[in-house]
Amino acid sequence: MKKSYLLPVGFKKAGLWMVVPFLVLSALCLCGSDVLVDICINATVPAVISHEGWFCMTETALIEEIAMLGLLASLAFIALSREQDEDEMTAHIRMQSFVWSTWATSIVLALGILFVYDLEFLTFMFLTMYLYLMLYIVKFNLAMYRERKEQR
Amino acid sequence: MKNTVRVERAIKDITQQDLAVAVGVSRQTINSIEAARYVPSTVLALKIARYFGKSVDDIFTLEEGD
Repeated sequence: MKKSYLLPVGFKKAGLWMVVPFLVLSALCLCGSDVLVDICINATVPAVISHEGWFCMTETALIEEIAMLGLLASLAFIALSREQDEDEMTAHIRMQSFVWSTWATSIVLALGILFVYDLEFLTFMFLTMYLYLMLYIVKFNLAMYRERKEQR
Repeated sequence: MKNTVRVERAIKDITQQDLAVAVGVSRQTINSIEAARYVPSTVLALKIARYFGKSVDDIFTLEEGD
């Protein structure tokens, strides 16, 4: 039996529900919005590496970790859940979309390395982390939509 | 790659959905195979051929450039 690394169908719906709030929260964190000051809880957490060195304790704003993890989880849920009618053609479209998204992200990354500098580069890298999954989701769903439209 | 899935289906008088269920894929996949938009895997090609009681070569044929 072939092993599937995809999540059950229901995770896609869960991801869709989660993505908007976490996208907004991440955007607010990224902009350094004042709205977050009230809910910002600083905590001391274990770190593999930080400005204090390797394997130490460091202080961080928990809301940022929650926003980033939430956004990553919701995008992964959407991208990596089975379709209702998942079969070998869907797997083929997935593979094509992954290749396309890898190329597109690499090109954006290369342009960023060449043209984005200073602290803005950190913001750019933050966005690029999620770009790969976002582009994959858009490309895959567009391809599936076209395929389903052909049937009508 | 050309195929005669549509013809074989017409001879047997079955719908795309019937064939899809019999070989364990979605109707979209059968439609895409018939329209030559998708080349099936060896396993699926064998399943389709077995369903129609023919060899894979009878249903799927290579075109120039394949």
